[in-house]
Amino acid sequence: MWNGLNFNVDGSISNPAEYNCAINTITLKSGSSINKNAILEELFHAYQNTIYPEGTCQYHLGTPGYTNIEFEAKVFKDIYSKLYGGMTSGNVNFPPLLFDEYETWITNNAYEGITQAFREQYNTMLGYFNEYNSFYGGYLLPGFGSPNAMIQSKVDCN
Amino acid sequence: MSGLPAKLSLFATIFLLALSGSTQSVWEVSEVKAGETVFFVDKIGTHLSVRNSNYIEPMNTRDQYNWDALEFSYVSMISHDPFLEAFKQSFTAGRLKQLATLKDNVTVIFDVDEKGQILGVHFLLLKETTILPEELEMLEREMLSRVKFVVIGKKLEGMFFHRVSIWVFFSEVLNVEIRPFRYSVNLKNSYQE
Repeated sequence: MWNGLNFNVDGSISNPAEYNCAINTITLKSGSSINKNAILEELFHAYQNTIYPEGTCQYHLGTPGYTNIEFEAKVFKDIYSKLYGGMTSGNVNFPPLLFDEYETWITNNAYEGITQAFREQYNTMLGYFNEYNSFYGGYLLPGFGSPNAMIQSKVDCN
Repeated sequence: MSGLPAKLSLFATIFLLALSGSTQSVWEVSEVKAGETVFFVDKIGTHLSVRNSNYIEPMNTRDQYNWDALEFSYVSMISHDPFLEAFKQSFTAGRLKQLATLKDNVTVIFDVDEKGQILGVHFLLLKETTILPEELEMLEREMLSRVKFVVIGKKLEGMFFHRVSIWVFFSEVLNVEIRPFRYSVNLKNSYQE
């Protein structure tokens, strides 16, 4: 499934962990970066690369779809964090009530699973992410608004 | 005698339903008083966002730190027990059992500055919550006086804040182990440099 996923340690990267789809490698900043919160999002990026046709390198920084790919990974990680603890980050810089709206959306999903209501709100939340996350926003691909990798992960994990 | 347990069960159910129905309306207005405190209430889908009228939105004066874009920095709770104790001081044992039975839950959201100081706290409640305003007032006070954070990762110099969100079921309080909170405490061990 992982197409020979590799792991590497490189102290020069700025984040605790990152995934490079071109070489199918997760790089960790240090031994202390090997914790579930940091690595979960990168593992999901590697998983996305196996699920979406032609992989996810086509959605690299600066191209339409980058925002979509990053948002789905944030949502996946945030649901886990909601259940088991950790740092939610899909709603960073959202205005206060939209921050809360995202929190309740994630909470409901953590409690009920991927429901119809969750899917219906997905595009709304993706829109907020595109608008308010200055780092990942601005590269939205319209029509790419379904969390297919997240949905597929439920099938693969059963 | 054989019908007694069933009658007791029915009585308990009615009591809980009545309790649920009577407190639901308490939060259906935009301002709720509890002692000296006034809470502002916003309806968000299935939940209520509840803030003390004294709450100051940190976003007005600070930037929320985005550790995806910048070097990693966050805050971790120092200890699990004060958080648990805040619940125990705010709810009687009987109420904790009631709330656990009803599967009631609350999300506590802390705003924490770049030095690890708490700037404020607000809550997300279920629309049908049976938590009373007076209990929430006490919980807020206990949270602000007991819970402490420590900075992990890069030490920041600017005017930043983090939002730390903890989802708590009352059954977890009864079991004296709040898993997301425990994780937050353990986080500092992972990132100590």
